[in-house]
Amino acid sequence: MIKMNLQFFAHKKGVGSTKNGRDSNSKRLGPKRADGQVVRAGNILYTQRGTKIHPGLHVGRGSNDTLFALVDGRVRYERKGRDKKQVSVYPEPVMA
Amino acid sequence: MINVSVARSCAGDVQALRLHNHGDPVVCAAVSALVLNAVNSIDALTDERFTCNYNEQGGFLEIEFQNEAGKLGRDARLLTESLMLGLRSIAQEYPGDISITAVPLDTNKEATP
Repeated sequence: MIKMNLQFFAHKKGVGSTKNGRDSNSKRLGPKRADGQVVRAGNILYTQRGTKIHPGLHVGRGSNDTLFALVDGRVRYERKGRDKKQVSVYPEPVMA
Repeated sequence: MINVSVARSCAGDVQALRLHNHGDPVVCAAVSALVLNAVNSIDALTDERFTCNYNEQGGFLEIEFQNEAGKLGRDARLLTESLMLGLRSIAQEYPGDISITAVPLDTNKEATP
């Protein structure tokens, strides 16, 4: 007996018609302050999903993994161990 | 487009039937149901001897009856003619999706269905 496969002569095997071309809105993730830039405490440095960049000196991490400065100072992107990166803020007096 | 080739014996009974290619999903489901059910019915409900080759992934099926003098048993003839009636009806309504060609048993010349 042959299995009653109603798609025996169908173009597409076992799948309905798929429509590509849908995508969610981009969240504009990535760096918000560049290396060497002077920032104030609280400024967002990097928005991300997970820890592409790790928090370094004087840098905090928000609940959505956003990195932000804890003190006024200058931003530095650095290596962390063999294959990781981190961002730090080195304190500097910021002119008002 | 699903292509159907049917070969009839001198006695007028279907001796070989060959379907290949793919078609519109709706027409495909109808043709698949008719053909697979006819083959399963001849196998299960009659004593007719035949060979059936088909592609597991679908898209190809051919059956050939093994009888003397090209005469089918009464039940097998009824089932095959019922299948042909169904296929012709579908071809009438969906001419762009299925084509039925009658081919003589021994030569490849076109013949009227």
